[in-house]
Amino acid sequence: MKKLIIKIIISLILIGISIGTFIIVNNINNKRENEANINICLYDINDELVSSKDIVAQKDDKLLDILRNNYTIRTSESTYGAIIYDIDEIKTDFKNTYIAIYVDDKYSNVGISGIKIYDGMKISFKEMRVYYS
Amino acid sequence: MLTAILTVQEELLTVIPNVQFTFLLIICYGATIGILDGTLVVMVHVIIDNLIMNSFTPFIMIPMFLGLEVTLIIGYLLRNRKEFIVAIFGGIAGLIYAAFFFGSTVFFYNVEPIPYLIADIPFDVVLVSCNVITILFLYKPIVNVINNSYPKRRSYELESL
Repeated sequence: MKKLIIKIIISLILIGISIGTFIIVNNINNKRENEANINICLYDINDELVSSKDIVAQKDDKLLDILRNNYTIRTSESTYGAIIYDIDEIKTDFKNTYIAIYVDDKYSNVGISGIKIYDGMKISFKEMRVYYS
Repeated sequence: MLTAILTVQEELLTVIPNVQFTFLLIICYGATIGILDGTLVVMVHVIIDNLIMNSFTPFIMIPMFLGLEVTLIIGYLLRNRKEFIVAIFGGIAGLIYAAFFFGSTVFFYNVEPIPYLIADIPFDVVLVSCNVITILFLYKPIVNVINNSYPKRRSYELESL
């Protein structure tokens, strides 16, 4: 009887370990599937690369939160979403200069709040001069 | 008949990965019918199993045979031991079996070793747990059944072969 109880206890522990291992590995795989490796580049007014960072984020992360966690930024809110004024050394005032956003080297048609993260994307923030016609 | 039982149960339990009575049965065969007859059983089982699963390639058959043969030898060496000891080594036999497949997969199929190892962990845990649990509960009953069903060969019968 004692032997049977020990066998049952050992079996239950092993079943628990097996189920736990599957759950842990499943969670790790889900997290890995949801990961997005993005590259963020900053360019100054002379189109010279100021910094380039490779960041690992989750696909449902917001770009603004990623920037807040990795850079010193200054933003304001508008009816179209967040507007970014400063990122680290790049400082703009929206009167003389502004920050243009490029996604995969193409000018972004949406603001920073509208950009969705995906794996392998390259986001460039370029300091541009404001031209008045 | 022992080969038939071994093969049929493995095919029936294919739906649940790594849950099988194969290691239990091979350890029992090692403990009862010995290494020579057990090796024949393992050889036939490996051939039939791979024919059924459409994996008739030496890159799968050889590690499978080696893994099961090590299990058979473990069963033979521990034939007079308590089931707790046999269960521990049955679990280790599962890991040795997985190690043979790891080597074969990495070398012949050019799979990255670390990701393969990490991805294989849950299945190895299930295999080891299954081996230990089945051996703990079923080793003694099955050994008794086989010993009562198959008379042991006497030395003069072996000499006449």
